Amino acid sequence: MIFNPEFRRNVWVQFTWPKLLAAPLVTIIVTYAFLIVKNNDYRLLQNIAELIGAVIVGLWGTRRAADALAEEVSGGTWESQRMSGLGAWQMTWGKLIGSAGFVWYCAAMTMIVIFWAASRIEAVGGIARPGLQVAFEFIVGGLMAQSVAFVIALLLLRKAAQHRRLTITLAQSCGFLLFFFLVRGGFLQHSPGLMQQDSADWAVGDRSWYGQIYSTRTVLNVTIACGCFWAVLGAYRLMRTELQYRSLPWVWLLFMLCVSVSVAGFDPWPQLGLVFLALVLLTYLSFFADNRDPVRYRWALLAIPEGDWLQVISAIPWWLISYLLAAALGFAIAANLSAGGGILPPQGEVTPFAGMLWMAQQHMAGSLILVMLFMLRDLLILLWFSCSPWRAKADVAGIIYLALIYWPLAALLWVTDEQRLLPVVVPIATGVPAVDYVPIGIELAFALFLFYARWREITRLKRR
Amino acid sequence: MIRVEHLIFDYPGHRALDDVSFHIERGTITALVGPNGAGKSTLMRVCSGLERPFAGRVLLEDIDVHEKPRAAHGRMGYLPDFFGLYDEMTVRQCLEYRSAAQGVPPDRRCDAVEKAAQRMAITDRLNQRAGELSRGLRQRLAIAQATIHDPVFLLLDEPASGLDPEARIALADALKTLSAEGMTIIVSSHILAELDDYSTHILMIRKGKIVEHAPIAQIENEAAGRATIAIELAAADPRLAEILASIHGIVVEQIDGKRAVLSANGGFTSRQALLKLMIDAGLPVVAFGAEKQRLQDAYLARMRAPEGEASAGPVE
Repeated sequence: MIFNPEFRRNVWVQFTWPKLLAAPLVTIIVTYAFLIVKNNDYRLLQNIAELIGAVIVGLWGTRRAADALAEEVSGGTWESQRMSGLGAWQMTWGKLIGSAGFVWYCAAMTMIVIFWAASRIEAVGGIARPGLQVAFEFIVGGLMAQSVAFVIALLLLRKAAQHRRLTITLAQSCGFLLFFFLVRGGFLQHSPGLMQQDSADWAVGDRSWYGQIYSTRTVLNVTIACGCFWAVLGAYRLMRTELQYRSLPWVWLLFMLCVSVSVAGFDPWPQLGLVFLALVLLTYLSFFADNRDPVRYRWALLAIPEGDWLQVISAIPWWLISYLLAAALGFAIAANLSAGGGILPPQGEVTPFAGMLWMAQQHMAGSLILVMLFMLRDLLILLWFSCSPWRAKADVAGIIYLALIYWPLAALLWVTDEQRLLPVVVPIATGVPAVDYVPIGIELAFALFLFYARWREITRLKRR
Repeated sequence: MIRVEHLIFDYPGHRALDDVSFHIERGTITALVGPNGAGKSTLMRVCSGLERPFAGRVLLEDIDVHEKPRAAHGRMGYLPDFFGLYDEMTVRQCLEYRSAAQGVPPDRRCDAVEKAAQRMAITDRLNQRAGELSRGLRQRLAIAQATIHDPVFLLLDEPASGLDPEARIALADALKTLSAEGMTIIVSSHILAELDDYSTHILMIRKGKIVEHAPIAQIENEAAGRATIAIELAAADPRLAEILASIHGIVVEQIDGKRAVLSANGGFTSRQALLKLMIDAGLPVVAFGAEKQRLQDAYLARMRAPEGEASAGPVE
């Protein structure tokens, strides 16, 4: 690792002698003072140290990871780095571990305190959280959160390098929230009861996966480990693209398959409805993650008649792959339901959302087809935003569009007892084909017209 | 050395590079010039492999820059217009980092650092922090970083911008040193007056198209056939404009009653005839002389020419 020039540069910048000495000194003093004030309460010490460690790894670490790239971009050194001889792995690891090097050093101090406190608890016959579990949460969970922050920063900086602070904060927040809720159990772990008493594991109970029963803790640990693997791999693949390597989207395809297989194991619905929803979510997420460069899309289109399939595949947007997979699965489920497949049980309370869900279940096959058509309409409208002169604000416009077009109108129709008109604004089938498909057909045609007009305008340049 | 073939690069709704082709010989210094928005920086970025073109390719000694970016980057250096340095690190650390990042073997890194520092005359600054350096020294450190791995090809985007005259002279000397070592260099700049001090070739670009690519000596020889003449009268005289307008073969570029700048075809004989005409007309001529006609004039002539007329075609 030390032979990685990027890591070494970070060490030079971050690890000064005063800082190296200050961290353990502060840790010793604070620990000593705490034990005096709290009358040698090692359990509370362990919990407080875990909390501080979580803040260091999850909040500070994610900030450093997100900043690793932003500092280079704003400092004007990123282009030189892209021109260097460093490979994508070296760059990814050097930045991920290197930028948060001092964070890990400080986290190591808190882990020493945690292990020491645990040994003291066990020495008097108490039960402390297993050290291996704590170390796993900090190291693997922390790395996952930091990698996610790094990935998001990388994605966002490609889209809007000028909004650096916002980008960094957003990337950090995503990494931190993932760490806080998935690894640390959100507010469960730090509830006053748990802080004062036994450090019981918040992840209780069992989960069924493909019919096999596993403890929640095992499921969670495997999820964290897989999440860490995919986040690091994602960072590497994005770095490859950034360093101008031609990248084919097979890792994204594998990721979607992995998510589908994992989710299918938990799916209470026999028709893979949860997998379908996961793919729909991934389509929207990957759409917003993409910089939606019309020039790149055009490369792919023009490469088709030339038979340059490598170009086509490397330029194909991830969201399109996700959409095609979701659509394929949606049609398969709809066909199965039409052929007499099971219908989900209706929900209890008839709040607008529950009511709409219940309505959708009455005509599940039609609703699934509508979901795909509504997605297509959304993608076309969002692409229209991306091809507009104000494409820099396309993401914000897209989020506002999605927020406005779905919920307020649907809720309004529901409270005014105009449920039969719901298919106009939300993908809920009523069983009447004219009501279900004509409105979305018109909306689709309009969206297609808008997008095509804009597309023609910005791609009027011809290839020689 | 470097061959650019039919490059096309688009931004949404705008073609930044339009079928750009040229070939640059080893050991030359090519000045890349053109107005703002002409596509100079885009061309630099595409040539350096930082941007992938829509069509066309860039070959550096037969390495396709976009197919094998790492291999190409090992043989080239690039300094963007808005470059940065690691301000917290010393000059030595900056150079050591860059040499390692560029894959210089560990046993040769010390020598590489010394050589790069010596080449850019910053050996006395090795232990100073990069953040404490003046603008000129920062520029030299940045070039030292870009050349620490002894690239065969160097791209410098506006390296002289923001430098004081002394720093510019130092930069010109540094470029000549690098060229003398066999490096092939492309320099983009707006400061045309200084480019012909060290450039061997000029590459003019306008609206994403190459309008001229030729040795500077050739351009200057061509320019010599058309002289720019400055005339000054003792007092303003309205007849000056009338007389100049009546003469065939001259183009009046500036006139304010007392002074005039014009370009004229032909050599000394025609100039003599022009002077005689004005004296015979009774104009109080106090100064009459050919202005130095160099790169700037050639550049302006190309850039002002209607589209499609200026192109001299790529140098092969």
